[in-house]
Amino acid sequence: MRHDFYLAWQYLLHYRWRSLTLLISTCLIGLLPLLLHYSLSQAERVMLARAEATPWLIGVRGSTVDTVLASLYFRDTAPGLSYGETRRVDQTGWAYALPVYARYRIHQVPLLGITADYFDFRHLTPAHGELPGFIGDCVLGAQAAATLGLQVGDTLTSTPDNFFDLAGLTPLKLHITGILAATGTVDDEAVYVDLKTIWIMEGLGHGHTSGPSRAVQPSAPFSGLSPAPTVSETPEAVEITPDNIDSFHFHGDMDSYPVTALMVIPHDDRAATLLSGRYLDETLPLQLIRPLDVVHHLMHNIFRIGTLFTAVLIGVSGAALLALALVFALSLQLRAGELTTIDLLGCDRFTVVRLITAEIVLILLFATALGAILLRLIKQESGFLTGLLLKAL
Amino acid sequence: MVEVENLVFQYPDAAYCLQLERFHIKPGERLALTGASGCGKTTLLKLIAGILTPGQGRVTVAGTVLQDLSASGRRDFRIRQMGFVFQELQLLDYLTVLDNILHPYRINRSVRLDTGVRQRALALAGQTGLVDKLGQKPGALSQGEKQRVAVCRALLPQPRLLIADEATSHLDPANKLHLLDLLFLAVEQYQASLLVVTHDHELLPYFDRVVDFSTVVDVHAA
Repeated sequence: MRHDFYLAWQYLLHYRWRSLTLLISTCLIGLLPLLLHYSLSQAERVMLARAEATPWLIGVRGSTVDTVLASLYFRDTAPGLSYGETRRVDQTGWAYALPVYARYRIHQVPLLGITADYFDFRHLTPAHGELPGFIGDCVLGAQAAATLGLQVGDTLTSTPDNFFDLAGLTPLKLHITGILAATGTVDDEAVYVDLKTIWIMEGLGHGHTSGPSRAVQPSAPFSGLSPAPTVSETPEAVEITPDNIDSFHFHGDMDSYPVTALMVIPHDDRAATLLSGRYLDETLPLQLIRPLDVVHHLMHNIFRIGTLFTAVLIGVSGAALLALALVFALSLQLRAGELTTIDLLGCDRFTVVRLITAEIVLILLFATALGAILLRLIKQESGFLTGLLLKAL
Repeated sequence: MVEVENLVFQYPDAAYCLQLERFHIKPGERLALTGASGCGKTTLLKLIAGILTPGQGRVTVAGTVLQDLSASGRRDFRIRQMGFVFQELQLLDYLTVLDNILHPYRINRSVRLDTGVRQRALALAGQTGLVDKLGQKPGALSQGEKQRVAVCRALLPQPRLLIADEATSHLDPANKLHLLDLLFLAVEQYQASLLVVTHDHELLPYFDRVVDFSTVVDVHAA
């Protein structure tokens, strides 16, 4: 048996590219269904954990999935409700509400308008610097900081998606006051500003700044990088400084300002029941959503699709295995000369079968080892997979 | 050493049949077999080696009637008692010189690859000037070196009968004589008999006996 494996190893080593191709094909055939299953399970775990940590959401009546994905996972957008609902929830005495405004992205990174309580609720603490204290300040999630290549003390300028988008963000130069400690959740991916900051960006509030010295070109995405060529018509970015902060003010009723959803934390079960009763009426424009139910439903659907996909994958894998068997059979034909030689040298048929089996076993062993290494690497980067899945939603 | 009597052999679906009334090799004899192409020399070698089985007649090697043995018995007998240098050498590309020499011991359960066999292989490589080629593969060897590897492999079991099928056909004159010296030395060392098929008439004077196979065999339509 030792000689069989030695000879098989020498053969595989000599025809290394052919062997490597077989090995990788075999590995992928086994790995893909496992990977799919693992990434779905991982995504389910991450999504459920976040949904469990958020007892209730209030959003506009319509797609609960959109509201949950937008306010909990910062994916997609959902129609907003008015900020005044926060006060109305608080006034019930049954719960407190945390507004989340997740409509925009800044340099492809989710831009989240929140209040200071959000950080306590999500257990987010700064790893560097401090939480935003004033309008015009922002704090970055760990991954967002890495993606944008920014650190505490740098600035980040919001840019309109395009200059013809009148509803887009007004260019505002944000001061980065802190980088949050990594949590392994989507919180790592966002840029956080105070709600008022985002409303200023939307043009709902403004200051009476003067003088070009405090303005920067919005086309330069980050300070410290070489600015893009300026165009005279380009709107200038506003910077909120200690000198002009007092001049910033809002027009109209702030209660009517938009947020994406309210995260609602009831004081107890009774309060939760009473509160849910308030939003049962289907004629009301708002609804109370239990994110756990929505995510369960969503994952159930994803798993149904995943099961179908796995079935297809297993079918394809079966076909690929047959193709591999054919490759082996054809390679035996190509090796007819070699088989004649070992026959002349006294090798019986049983030994020939053992030699071929040893080659197959070695390929399977190495494919399994390669698959295990890949799976381990993928597990280490599971956040990436989960992110991909969330992006696909 | 070898006795062939009333031999009749026909390849499956072949139109011709080989008949040989009598053929023999004495112990320690160095016999050259010549004859026109297609007269059945290689077939005779395979019949003597037990690779082919005759339809009729008897082949006796070292007192053993090959037909009395089972297929695996004939195989075991061949591995233990005979060395065969094939016309096409039959070296394996993916094995080194040393592994090619040792190969029969790795693929046959009836023989064991132990330290003694390894040492014998190294000694043979030394005698044939292959010591510095042991780690190389056949693709990197000259034709003469390949021939020597094939000879080493054939000599490893210390055979009582050494068979070489046109083993010198691709060699230059100097290498031909060198290879023949090797075979004669081994025959003397192991007190073996040597049966060589050759078309090279320059080599014939070196043999104890030369048989023109065309004159002793009868090949006719089946």
